[in-house]
Amino acid sequence: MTDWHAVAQARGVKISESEIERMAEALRRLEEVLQPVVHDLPHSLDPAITFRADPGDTE
Amino acid sequence: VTLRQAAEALRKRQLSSVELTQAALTRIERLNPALNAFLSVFPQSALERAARADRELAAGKDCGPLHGIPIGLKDLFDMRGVRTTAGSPVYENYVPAQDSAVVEKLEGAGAVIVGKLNLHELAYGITSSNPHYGAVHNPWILDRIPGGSSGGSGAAVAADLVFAAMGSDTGGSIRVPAAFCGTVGLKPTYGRVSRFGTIPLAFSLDHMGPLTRDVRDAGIVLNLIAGFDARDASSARRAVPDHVPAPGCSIRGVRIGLPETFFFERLEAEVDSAVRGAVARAASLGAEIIPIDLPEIAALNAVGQIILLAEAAALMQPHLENRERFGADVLELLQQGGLLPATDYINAQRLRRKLCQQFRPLWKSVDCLTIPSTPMTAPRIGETAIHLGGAEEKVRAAATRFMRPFNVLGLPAVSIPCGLSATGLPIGLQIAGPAFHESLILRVAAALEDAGVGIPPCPIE
Repeated sequence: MTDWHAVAQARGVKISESEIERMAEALRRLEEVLQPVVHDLPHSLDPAITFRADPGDTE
Repeated sequence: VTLRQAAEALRKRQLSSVELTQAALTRIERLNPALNAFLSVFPQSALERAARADRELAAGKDCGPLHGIPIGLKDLFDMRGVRTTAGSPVYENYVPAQDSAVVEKLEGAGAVIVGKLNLHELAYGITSSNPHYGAVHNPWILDRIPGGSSGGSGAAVAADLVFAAMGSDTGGSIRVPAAFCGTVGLKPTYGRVSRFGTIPLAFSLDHMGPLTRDVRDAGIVLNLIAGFDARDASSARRAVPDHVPAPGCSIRGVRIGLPETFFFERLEAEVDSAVRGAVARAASLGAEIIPIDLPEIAALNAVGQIILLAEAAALMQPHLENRERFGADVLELLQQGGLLPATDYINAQRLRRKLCQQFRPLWKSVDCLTIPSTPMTAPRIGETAIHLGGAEEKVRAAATRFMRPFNVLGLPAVSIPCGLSATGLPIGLQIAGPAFHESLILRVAAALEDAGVGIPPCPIE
């Protein structure tokens, strides 16, 4: 799991330890749901944001 | 009086657009000090537009059902030459040079825009207790929140200040205020309504739609604002059908999915009872109620939150040096989003695609879903946490729990009022359907409305 305190420090986020702890708790909860599922995603699966070389080429 | 009734009265010359608009302005002047729903009101331009509508209608030029009807706009829709704040000091000096696509269409249809409506700061939250422009109050009980982020839109429609208001919905921001204020709130399919000229919160989750007094009015507004727009990269090239349900429409044989898990967990007993009552009414009208088990709703919510955190943080990154320009709740979310690694965002968007694929087969066995809009009625202003099912939960998380999945999936969903709590607060029923099937969910909603599912008018005077 990500060390959110270290991330905040590396990014130079200027907030108190207690604020970081509150954010870290929320982010940890999200990662707990995301990470186990991500391992099962096939490499062929694109993100749901799609770039189109020709903007007119929509459905 | 609904939008349709007002439109009919205009055509029968029973009243004029100027009279309708003046009545709206008078009511805004009287009630807005208590509600704080409007951030700005345009009496002069609205009355001029109304007078023009009267002349046009008298001359036989009829632009359709919105011609001459007073409406409001959430203050994140660009309107040429008019300050658009998104409820934030970040945009306090932003005066757009052109109209948003929605405003273009509304003005082209002859609507009379009377003002711009208050919202949760940056549309990033559900209380509409805006630290910069003041809290919006719920017209049913003034010390309650109206929901958000389109809180001004919900309060204005519920209090009869306007016949319809435009809102935006990134994680429930049309449907939450609709549920808490007892109006209809429609989030169309992603791509159905152009986002061009709106201040974004999260590019891939933002949807634009109407809040109205009844279901058919929502269909009327959707008919006008829907359609392809090359200026919005996600706009869909789909024909726009008529979204207004026919009088006396039937739902006999419609297969309504009733999820047995997640959507009926941790909710107030009154909400559970009112929603199940509406579902029973649908069954009595001939709909087939099918218990179903939905895939991965908790994952959908997590994916939605990660995408929202990251996209909003990216958008606001240039402004984060000035922390004092943000309210505490919004600042915390923006800083949280700034910590998320790009890999989490990308993987959330990959998982989103997989979840969309998993959800699609559902529509082979049911035509739509009926679920509660929110697990609770409107909390008090200032309340940040509530108790549901024996556990404490943040108000924001609770209010969006049943809604966010449909932003992630991009599916259409409408909230309609289905009852009042013992304290006199509205309860919302949510009906969701397959992509681009707004007509079906509006038909189910209209049939229920016709059958008496609903609430009396808001008593505020």
